[in-house]
Amino acid sequence: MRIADTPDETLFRAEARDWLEGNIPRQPRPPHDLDAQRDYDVAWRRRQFDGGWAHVAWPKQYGGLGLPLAQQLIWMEECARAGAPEHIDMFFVALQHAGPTLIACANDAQRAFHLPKILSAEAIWCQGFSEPGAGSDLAALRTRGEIDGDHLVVNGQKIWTSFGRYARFQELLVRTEPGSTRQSSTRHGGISFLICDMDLPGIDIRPIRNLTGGDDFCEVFYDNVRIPLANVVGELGGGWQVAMSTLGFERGAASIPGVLEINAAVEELIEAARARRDDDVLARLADARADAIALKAMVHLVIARNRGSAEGSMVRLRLSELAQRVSGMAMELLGPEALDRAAHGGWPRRYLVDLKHTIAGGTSEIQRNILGERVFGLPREGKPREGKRA
Amino acid sequence: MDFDFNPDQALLVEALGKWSLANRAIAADDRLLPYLDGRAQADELRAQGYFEVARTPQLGVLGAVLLIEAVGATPFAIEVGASGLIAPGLDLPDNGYPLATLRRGGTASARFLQAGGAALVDCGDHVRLLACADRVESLRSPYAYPVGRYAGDFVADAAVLDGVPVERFRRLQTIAVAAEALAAAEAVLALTVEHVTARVQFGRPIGSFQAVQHRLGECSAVIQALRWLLYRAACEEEGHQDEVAVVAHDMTRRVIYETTQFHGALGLTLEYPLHLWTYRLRLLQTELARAAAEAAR
Repeated sequence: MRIADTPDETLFRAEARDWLEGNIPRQPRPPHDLDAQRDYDVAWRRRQFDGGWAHVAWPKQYGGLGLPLAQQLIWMEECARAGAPEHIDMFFVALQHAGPTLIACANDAQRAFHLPKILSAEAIWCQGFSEPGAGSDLAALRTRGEIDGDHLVVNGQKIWTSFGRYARFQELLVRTEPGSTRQSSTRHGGISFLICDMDLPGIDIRPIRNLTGGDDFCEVFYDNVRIPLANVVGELGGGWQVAMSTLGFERGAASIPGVLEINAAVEELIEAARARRDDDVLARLADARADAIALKAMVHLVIARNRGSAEGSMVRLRLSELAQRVSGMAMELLGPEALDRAAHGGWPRRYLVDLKHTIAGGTSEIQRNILGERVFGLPREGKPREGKRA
Repeated sequence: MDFDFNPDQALLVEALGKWSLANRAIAADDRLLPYLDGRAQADELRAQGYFEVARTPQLGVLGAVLLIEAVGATPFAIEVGASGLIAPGLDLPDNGYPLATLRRGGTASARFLQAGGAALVDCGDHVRLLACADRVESLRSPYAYPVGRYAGDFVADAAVLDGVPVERFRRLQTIAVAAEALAAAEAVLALTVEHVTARVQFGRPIGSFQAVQHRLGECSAVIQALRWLLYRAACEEEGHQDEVAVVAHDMTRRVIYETTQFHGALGLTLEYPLHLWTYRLRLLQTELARAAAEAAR
């Protein structure tokens, strides 16, 4: 094991730091206005692309730098150090879900078409996994795709689609073998992973107002939407495995920027607690700091295992729970000042945003199930007996 | 010792229970509002004399806690803690409604700080009364209460209240805020039990999973612990306010987390009413944090 930078990595870090110093956006990311957020995110991602820093670890032929994940980590560390904009922006799904999934599971034509558009900030992506009846139980999804010539005709509904109105493409899960929801043994089969063009006729997007005051997540309705069969990623009916690799990325490497950001946030709050002489919050922040630093060390586990391991759920679980604890402490530090949503560092809003992190991308309960079932190999919780008492 | 409500308190509980149940519905048009204005409900209760219960010897501060519980179980933002418990508990006359609380050295913003209303100001070694007149601007807050900011020096503009012991003021303030938190927690737990009973995933109601049942059970236990501690503190002239603050603070943290988790993304929308309770509990937790921290020392 070697934690210190090699000479190459030291050089890379210095170059990254130098570029970031001159190129970090001077203005903070707009907190509420989605149009302004889109413009901001596109400009920042485009600047990274033009500067030759777009996705360090992606293959060169698709516009990445083709460097090892260790260098990706260094880039992220330097971004956090320089105070780069928050990593969960409108390109999160494109960069952290869709891109890695396409690299792992798509065919050459799909990769060649989509990956450069992601890196050059031309295409925002959204996710179409959850449905009103299929949240934690994702395999219960009912949106269906029927083959008609060389197209799939899609009907149904998706929900909690972040930035649905701004996305050009969607990673969409549909059931292509009707009836397979009924038997639990086959319900993971018969699901396909599609790339859906959000401009297709028959797609209706309705924003949902949420408790942060925003409306970034949406419902998406599909009425006879014709998607070419060429947009299926992996095998027709093999979408569950593709989706699991997507979620593996979300729970694994995609957590790294969040880990670095929470470390920075804890340090910021420790300064604030010292300035306010709030010893109680300061003591609890000391615990949070230890957890944040331990998480940073756990990132090495994620990188060592790389693709979609169950251990990613550990990082995801501890990160999202810690983020909520930390923003809760910020609120207590602010006290009655927290009444004003424009207060210090946007913490009152951030607290509300953080409530979603233990739900989105698999709830903390699902992450714990994954640890129980896949890390320990424990049996799944049984179905309740019907009729008779045990 | 008598562990049950006296006949007057029992009658109060019955009457308030009916009123509370009749005031739970949210009009469809109001679903997306940041908070539900409860001025009409407050006027009704005040006209019927309910805000005076703490002045009646047979009802006392415990009567005011029961009032806050009934009021706080409705989704409406109704100022009752200061007007219905603190002011009568300190034997202060009605100095204007709504009544907010402020603290010297703290921010000039508070929930229920409104033009035409008043505020009690904790000045460290004494308490003052601030008449807001028209010197309040309303503030945009993400929490489910009307919030105002006093435009001026709220300590200098306030009049000293002679003979009001600051320790008693703080004790009643802790009891009032904890009672609001108790009411909100009970309401949100009932909403959550309803949800986990109806919501089916993996072919069964999610409330049938032991992981869910255990955690709801723990919420219920800490809520009941707070309730009985609060009743005890309300029956006594002094003491137990520190324990009330600590238990209430811990309770809010747990209940916000569990009820949000069990609702999933639905609970983060404005279409579904969970957020009203999440906002409210969060703000009450922030108010309890200082008392809990002081108690811990």
